[in-house]
Amino acid sequence: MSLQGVLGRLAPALLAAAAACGPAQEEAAPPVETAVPFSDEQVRRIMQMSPLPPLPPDATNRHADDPLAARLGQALFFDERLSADGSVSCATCHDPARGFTDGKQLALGQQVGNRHTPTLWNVAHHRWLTWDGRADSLWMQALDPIEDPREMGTTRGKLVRVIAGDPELRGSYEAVFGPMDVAALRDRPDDVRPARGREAATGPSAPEAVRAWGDLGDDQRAAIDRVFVHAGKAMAAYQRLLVRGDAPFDRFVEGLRENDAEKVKSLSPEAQRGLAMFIGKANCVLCHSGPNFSDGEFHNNALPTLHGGEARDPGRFDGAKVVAASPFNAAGPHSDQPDGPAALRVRQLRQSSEAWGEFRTPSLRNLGHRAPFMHQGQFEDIEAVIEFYSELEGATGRGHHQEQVLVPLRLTVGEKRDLGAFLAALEGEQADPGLLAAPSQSALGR
Amino acid sequence: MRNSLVTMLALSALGCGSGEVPAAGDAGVTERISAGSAPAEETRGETLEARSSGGAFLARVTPLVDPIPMNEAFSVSLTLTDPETGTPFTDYDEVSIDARMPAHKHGMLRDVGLTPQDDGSMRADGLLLHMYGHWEFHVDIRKGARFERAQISVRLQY
Repeated sequence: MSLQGVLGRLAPALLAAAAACGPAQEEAAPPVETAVPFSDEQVRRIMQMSPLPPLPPDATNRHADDPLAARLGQALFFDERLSADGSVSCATCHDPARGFTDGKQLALGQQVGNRHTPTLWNVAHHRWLTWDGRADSLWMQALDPIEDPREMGTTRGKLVRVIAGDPELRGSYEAVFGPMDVAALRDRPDDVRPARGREAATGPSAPEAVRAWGDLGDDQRAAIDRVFVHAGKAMAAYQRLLVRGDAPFDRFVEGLRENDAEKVKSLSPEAQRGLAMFIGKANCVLCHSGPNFSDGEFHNNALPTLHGGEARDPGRFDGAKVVAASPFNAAGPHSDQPDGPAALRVRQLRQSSEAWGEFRTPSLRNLGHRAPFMHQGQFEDIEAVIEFYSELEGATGRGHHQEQVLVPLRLTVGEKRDLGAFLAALEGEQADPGLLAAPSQSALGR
Repeated sequence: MRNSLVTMLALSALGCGSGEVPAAGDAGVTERISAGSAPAEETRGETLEARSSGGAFLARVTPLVDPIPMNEAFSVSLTLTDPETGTPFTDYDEVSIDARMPAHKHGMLRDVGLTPQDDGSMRADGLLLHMYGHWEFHVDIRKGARFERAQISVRLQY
């Protein structure tokens, strides 16, 4: 390590020593030893990967950090009544015991879906939600699965009825969002929703719930949408609490900053070698950058498909269209800041063929219990993921839209083991157990 | 600031009109030390300039933040001038600015609009460079069927 690097590493320790002991009375301690001789540039890279910063604010949801809203959202998240047959809640696929995934390759709600359930750990650190970024806020994301026939398959009309008809839920709702517009919400069928995708909105081929939606008055539709959106904003407030940082890697970085040998030992020599691989030869950090180990954007890494052959899922190509057209995006009428930075972001979104087959970079924090991996759950464990990037065996569509920098890493057995050890050291502190199940009725907080 | 380097290479324009094959031009190289962490607000970065492929205009791009932050939205100021006279260049129907990453063959996937400013410059908000490495600002104008580009390289390093 150069003199500049040593001074940079020691600066905080020197300042602390100076503050505690008076000027120039003690000699600076030598820089703490690491198992791997990291270069200055490597140290700079490592420092940018920790700690996990505070959550980015969500000005599109003025209730994003309201504890009462979060409690309501938690109750809704675990409520199976918000599904067509009463058997599926958000937690069915986002199972807290499985890293807020479900252990399946493809999600199974009311039907089998087309993608693997992404984790919710640290989800509020993402600017785009889901694999294809079809939502630009947590609250927008929470709405679509409720009416997706493959997921919960119910309707916003039924959701409103559940909340309005449950004294605890309704009381909690009104404590956060104010009184429901009861006059506009009564005298209507339960199951009402707008058409989805290519569904007919009118005529005999339109689903009954869609025809019923069309028969409602504007004030009724607006009142239902208000409650629907509020439910999404409450669930977003809950999901913002699903944060786990303070992994062994974070303590290691603290040790580098503070010149604390004990903290540096939090990362085993094997994991330190894996870290050097991560930011060096393997260059995983190119996409898995920043303290959440994701650039938050979309890439096509030529992954093998579950069905074999070439990819058919358009990924971000579709997701960008969906979010731009949705009335629930950050620029829409339900946003609490329709002219802010998030609104600008979605208004600027470009519809481009180069986004075809791209999927969002997943965070690598808290991989435990999240297998299988990738957007179709193609890889059964993290070792299989590393093996793919080592050899690119089964890669699809090379030379089309895929990342042009993707090359086989040709990792040795030891290098793969080291990389795995580093990834295992990204497992954060345990979350508050109170967040991992439905809250008790008394906890709804009125 | 010492934690990272942003090396900016102002390259001359690459041909892109009338089906020409782009050709790299000479480069005026500026290197400076900056950080990849939180940017200082209201601090303008170094102005980068490049002449367009057909030589019709000189593009000057000034980041309105210094350093350009990694994976965070930022704004730039853009001016177009006649390379010979230095007067404002306005002989176009459309103008746009984009940022691309040649090694990855992808870019921002954002259409950042340009807003005219009182001083004759234009401002673009919402640019975002989400990966470390070599990026290029593309300043394109269209006049009828003719396209012309000025291209400016930016290296975003740790």
